[in-house]
Amino acid sequence: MPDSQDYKSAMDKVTAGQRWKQATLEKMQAETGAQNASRPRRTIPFGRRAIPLATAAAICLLVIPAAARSLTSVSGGATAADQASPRVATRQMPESSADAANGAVPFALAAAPEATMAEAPQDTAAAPAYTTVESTSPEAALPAEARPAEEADGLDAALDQLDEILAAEGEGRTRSDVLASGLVEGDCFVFVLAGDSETSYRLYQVPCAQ
Amino acid sequence: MPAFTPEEAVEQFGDTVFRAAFGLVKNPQDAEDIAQEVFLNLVRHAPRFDSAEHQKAWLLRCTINRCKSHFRSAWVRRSAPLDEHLSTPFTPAENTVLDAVAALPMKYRQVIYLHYIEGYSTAEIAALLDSKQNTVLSQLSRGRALLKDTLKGDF
Repeated sequence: MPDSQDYKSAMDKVTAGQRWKQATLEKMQAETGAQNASRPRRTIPFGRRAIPLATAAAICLLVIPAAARSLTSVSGGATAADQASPRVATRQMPESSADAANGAVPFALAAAPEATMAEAPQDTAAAPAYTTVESTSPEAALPAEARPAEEADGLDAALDQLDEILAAEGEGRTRSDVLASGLVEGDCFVFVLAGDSETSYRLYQVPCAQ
Repeated sequence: MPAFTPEEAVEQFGDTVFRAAFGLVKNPQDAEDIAQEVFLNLVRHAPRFDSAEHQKAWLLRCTINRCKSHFRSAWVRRSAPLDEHLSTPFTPAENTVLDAVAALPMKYRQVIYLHYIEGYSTAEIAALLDSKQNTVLSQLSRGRALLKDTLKGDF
């Protein structure tokens, strides 16, 4: 009766011909030539991925003005809180010309600490430290090239960093909630935690501590 | 061992990739096309590999994905399967077992191939196919049972 040995011996007889190898090498050279001839797409490295420059520029155009606006409202712009309370933002004239000469700021704008604190959490909440991934399992949510991280150097330090990130999020999560982990190129650990639905996972990327 | 350049990879893994494609589609012409497309993908995407073994695993995964796409294409569904073999003659027993494996559903055929021909463990197959080890174990077990049933013997 035929068995697995027949299967192995049959497959051992299967080899790619020299003609096929030659044709493949020629096509690969043609492909390489075509790639070199076309204008290379300029990218910016981001973790293990490379983001096209145009995409990065579009993100910057959206994010930088928003960040600048939020910074202005925290450190001295005329916010609604400023207008509601004259105490919040007051212009202080130097007492004398001697103060100005000693480096006192001519028009110091003092923001009330409570106003600053009220604004600050909004800034941190605006930029989550994770990427949301839709996947069928935590393992599948890892990047395709991720290698096992269990025995990698720096795993403990990365988990400490992850704990800090999770503590900052304030959702009560810790490293014990990690469902899958891996090590990706560029020496970054990736950790998968549960997301907002059954098929949604949060992917945290933590650089290896050197 | 460090990864090979794409040109070296054709020499090193050409047989492996072609054999995997043939083992899954059982048609030398289709296997040649699929294997060639896999190596062209290697040039196009230029992924970084940690080692030659990592590169081989990527090539095998790419081959399996290509074979799945091949079976989904309308052309394959409409065309009658070609009864073509390689120039190397197979024994009747080898032909019987190749036909039996080719008749298996793709999910069983791929784990049977990776386990028996490439010698991967179930854990390695699970990593390669991005699947769970238990799933691979059950697919291997069911595939074996189907082959035993078809071949009326041991597998």
